[in-house]
Order: sequence, then structure tokens, then C-alpha cells
Amino acid sequence: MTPRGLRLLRLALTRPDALPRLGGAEWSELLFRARGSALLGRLAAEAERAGIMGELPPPVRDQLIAGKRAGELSRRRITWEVDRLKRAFFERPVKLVLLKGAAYAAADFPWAAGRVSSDIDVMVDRADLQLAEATLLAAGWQPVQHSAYDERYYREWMHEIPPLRHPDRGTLMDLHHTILPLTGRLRPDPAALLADARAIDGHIHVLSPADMLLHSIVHLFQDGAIRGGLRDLVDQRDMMVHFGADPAFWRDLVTRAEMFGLGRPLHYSVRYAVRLLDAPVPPEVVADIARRFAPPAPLGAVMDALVVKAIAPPFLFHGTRGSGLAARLLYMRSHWLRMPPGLLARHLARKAVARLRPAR
Amino acid sequence: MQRHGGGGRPWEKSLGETAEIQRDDHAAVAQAPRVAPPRPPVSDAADAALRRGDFRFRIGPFATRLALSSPLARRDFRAIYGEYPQYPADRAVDFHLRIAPTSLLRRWVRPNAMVQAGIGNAPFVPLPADLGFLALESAMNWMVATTADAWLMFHAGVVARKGRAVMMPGLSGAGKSTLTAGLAVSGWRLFSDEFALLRPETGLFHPYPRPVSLKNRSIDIIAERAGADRISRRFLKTPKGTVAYLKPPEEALRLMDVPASPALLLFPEYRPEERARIEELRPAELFALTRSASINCDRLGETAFTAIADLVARCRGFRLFYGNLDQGMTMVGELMERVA
Repeated sequence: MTPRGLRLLRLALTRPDALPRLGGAEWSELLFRARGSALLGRLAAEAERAGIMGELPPPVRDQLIAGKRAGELSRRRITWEVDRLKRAFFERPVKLVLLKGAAYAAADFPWAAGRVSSDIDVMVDRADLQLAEATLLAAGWQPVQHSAYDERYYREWMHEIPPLRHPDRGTLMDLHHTILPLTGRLRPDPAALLADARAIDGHIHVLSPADMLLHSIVHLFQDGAIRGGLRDLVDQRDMMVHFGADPAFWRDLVTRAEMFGLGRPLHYSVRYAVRLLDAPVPPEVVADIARRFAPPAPLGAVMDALVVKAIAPPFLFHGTRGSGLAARLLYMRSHWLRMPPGLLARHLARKAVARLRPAR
Repeated sequence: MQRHGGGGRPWEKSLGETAEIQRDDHAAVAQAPRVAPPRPPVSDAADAALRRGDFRFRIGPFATRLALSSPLARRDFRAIYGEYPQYPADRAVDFHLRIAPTSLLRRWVRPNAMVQAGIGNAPFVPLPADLGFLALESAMNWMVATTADAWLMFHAGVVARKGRAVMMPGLSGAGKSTLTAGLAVSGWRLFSDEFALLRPETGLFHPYPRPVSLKNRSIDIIAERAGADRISRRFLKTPKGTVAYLKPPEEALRLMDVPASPALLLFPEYRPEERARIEELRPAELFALTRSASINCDRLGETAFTAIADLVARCRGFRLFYGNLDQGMTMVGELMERVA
């Protein structure tokens, strides 16, 4: 059974013309959850597209206006940061692949409207990593302060270097050389991702449609903790709607997932995007992906129960029945997938000790 | 993008300070002499609704749904907000807030009060339980300042007379709250002592008449003018020293949906050791000062730029240097006459 909060969000995404009929209590809950999932701007974009803003009660309209402005701000910042990237890398032969929010905005995909991104993610070939990092430092980016252990954690085990921050603009930049931690169970080949990336402006690229969706999927279902990840699932649904209009897309998607070993996360994404958000995936595609990649039935049942509970933030005035536990279990799962057991034990012990020391 | 929102705003600093001082002062607060709480009111429907989180109230454009777990915080809330309108359950609210101990244990042992607002990285810190009401006030400040972007907001006190508004930006310590409170209890209509809300589409200021937060010496000064029954109990040993709240005059609440057009932008500075004086600001200076008093102009972008330019074009702006409250109030009154 779909919880009420998800039902309301699904209604907003699929039938925005029905929004003016919502009651005040339903609006309160929808707006609260949309804000908690960073979907307020997205909700505003849907309301605007449906042309219903004028029919909404003033407090609702005001909150949506605020969400819309947050989306516009994010868009302005991304546009500016991509411009600065182009300038920094002028005459440097590095293929820059924008990821996630920066890619959606730079490629001007429809679901970028109202989407708020907290930082800029860029991927380069590992061979170009040093040059790219040096170029960013020369352009004024600075490493965010962190411990020697954090430095080693990123450099040896992760798929990105420690985050960089621009001191004037406050923007955070994650520079990736692949899309999953080096220590994880799944290690998709970054060369194949880079080879298939599409140029959008000079040497600024975005991933191919299938890879773009798979990257969002690994971020949510392989590397992420799923908790509060509803926005990522909404992105995935949007990509399924947009890219899925081309029938070849589904074939590519399954081929690439197979090739990268990302079939299981793909299955989860399609399953929950369809079940929770009415994603229009052709039934034969859903069945084919399930047949190839679904987990054993007991595990699937556990995931069903946990994901539904954890993916949307609980409403403040409802009981939080089980969502905290579900989130903790999924968090443990994400760590399990991220590192081999020995390394995981050492990492968690290290973090636990660090937590006991007084914070400076 | 900044992970923690625009930095360096006055209330963020004060929230940061709150965090620090709280940690240091926790023991001191626990041992501090407790002020006798007001007499416990009889338990009734409103109290039960507050406890359950089924209580809704509205201040100007913002409605809040609230849960307060501590009986003392509920008494404080009802003593200070008792005259505000409740808000119907079947209408959408802006803020959802729950103030409760961080754990079941903390309900009884070194009891504390923590804000839950459904916001990911809000900088709330637990306060000692008898400051639960202050936790609510700072949570509402945070929610308005970080989410209400349908409005162009300024960190400023606002009062109005005959439909014409005076906005008085000021950093903490400039005497903004005291001056606003003094005017509010002397016939001016109180809009807010913290948040000037400007509607970009109309260029009008809208009231947001929260209780005025008074600190230390200004409590007695305002109590003398407003009457002791308009002032809340004193909250001792808070991060800002002793704090008490002035309940807005009846008119401020009755007219809280009636906007006013901007007339004056005043930049008051409390300088008891200096000669009292007024300096008119030139347009460019006035624009720069007004812009820097804005809470969310970066988030609103061009909308804010245009609205601030319009505001500055329609108002005259002055710096006020004053040595006592009466002097400051007289200056504001005379300037209002001058631009009338």
C-alpha cells in the first residue's frame, strides 16, 4: 500500500490539474513533504505548467512561489558555474562530463525546471584527474578542510576527490573519476561512460541517456542510503518519461546495465518508480528487467517494505512508525555495498572513535 | 551552492552564538534560580491541542501548526500568544514545528527542548527545558528567514501611522527592538521588530506582529510605558542575557492583514555618548544600506533588485544617532511629519 504522502506527491506529478481540489490539510502535508524532499520547486513547476497557480489558496501559492524562486536561483548558479568551468578549462584538453543537477540544467532537460542542486558534480577520466584538479585550484577553488583520514578515504577508496569550494561564490564542487566507490562490489567501467558521453558545449559533456539514468540509480540504490531519496526517484521517473519516448532507449538501458553490472539497482528503480510514482514504463520492459535482475523473493519483499517506509520523509505530526528503523537498515545496507567487510569494520571503528572525541 | 544557506546574516550569527553559549552555560542554567512560572491555567482544549500537535495559529501571512511537549512552554506560549487568532484545521499552514526533549530520558533528567521542523540541516540546538518558548521563537525566525521567499524580507523593525510605514534596519544592539517597541506602545501600529515583509508585486509592507523580544535593560524601559501586564515573564540566563516579550497592542493584531506603503527608511544607532543628530542618506548610499539589510535579496535575484530600487525611489532615508528612547521616538515622529 502506498503511504498517503507518496500518493499526494504522485498526484502532483501525474495530475497537477487536480491540485486545486486538495483540502488545506492535504496541502499542508504535501508542501511539508515536498520541502523535506527538496521537491518544492518541482511542485511549483508542475503547478505553473498546468496553469493552476491562480486557483490555489494564497498560503499555498506563496510557498510554491518560494519553491520556484529556489529553483531559479539554483539554475542561475549552475549556469554561472558551468560558464566558469568553461573559462578555467579553456585550452585545456580535458573532457568534462557534468553529472546530476548540473547536467540536467546545462542540457536544459524539462525536469531541471524547479530543481535545486546543492553542488556541482563533474567527472573526468582518471588520467586527467591531476590536471583537472590543478586547473580548478588555479581557478580559485579550494579544498574544504578535512582530516588526513578523510583525505585518504577519498583518495584511495572513493570515486571522487575531497570536495572543493569556491571561496567567493560558496559553491561546492565534487570532482569524480568514476561513479561508484573504488571499494564497492560494483565497479562500472568509467572509460565506457566517458566514451559514450554527449558534447553539449565545447568540451562540456553530459552522460548518454541510459548512463545518465543509471548514474542517478546507482546514486540512490547502490551508493546512497535511500532515506529521503524521493527526489532522486522523481528524477529517474522524469528520465523514464523523457528518454523512454524513444523505444531504443529501453534496449540501451538494459544492455548498459548488464554491461556495468547495474541490473539489480535498475530493477529497484524501475519497480519503485512504477509502483510509487506511476512511471510510464512499458509493461514488457518492467517484466524483462525483473526477470533478469530481480533479487530472490524474500529479499525483494524486505526491500519493498523498507523503501516505501524510508524514501519519503515522515510527516512531523504522524507517528513515524518504522521509518527510522527502515532508514537505519538501508543505511547499513549502503555501507555494506560500499566496502568489503574488513575495510568497513575499520572505517566504522575509526568514525566511532572520532565521534567520541570532543568536536573542535 | 552553499550547503548552509547565505552566510553572515544577523540571526544566523545569533543562532550560532546560541549554540556556543548553550554548551558553555548549560550547567549554569541548570543551577540558575528559576523564575516562578505564571500560575498554571486550568487544563483545557487549547492546552490539549498544543500537547497533541493539533494547535494552529496565525501571525500576519504565516500560519504555524505547533506541538509543545513541556507544560511550562505551553504556559509561556499561552500567556504570550493568547490574543492571537487561532487558525482553522482545514487550511494549509506554512510551518510545522514540534518542540520536545531530545529523548525520553531528557524529559526528566536535565530536561531540554529541541526544535523539529522537518528541515534537513537547520542549525537548531537543544535548549534547557525552561527556555522552550525561546526555542519556538528562534525556530519561527529561522523558518521565516529561510523559506518565505514569496516576500522580499529585511532584518528590520517596522511601524506605521496613517497607512505609511517606517522601516528601521539595524544590527543587534543598535536599539532597533527597543525603538520599535517604544513606538508600538505610543500610538504607532506595530508591524514587526525583526522582519520587514515587502511584497515585490505591490511594493507594500505587510505586518508580521510577533511579540517583541526585549533584552536586559530595555525590559524595564518598555514595561514602564506598556504596563507590566503586557510583558511576559523574564527568561534568565539566555544566550542574550535576560529576555522578555512585549505582547503587541490590540490594534496591531486586529489590523495584521492591513498593509502600508513605505515612507521612511531609518537607520537608527543608539549612541548615548554622542551628540544626537540626523543625517540624510543620498540615494546610492540608501540603496546599498537597504540592500545589505535584506535577508533574501540574493535568493530573489532580479525581483529583489527591482523591488529595492523602487523602495528607495519612493522613500527618504536617514541615519539617526540618538541617546535615549524618547529622543529616538521624537526624531522618528518629526521625520514622519517632514515627509508627510
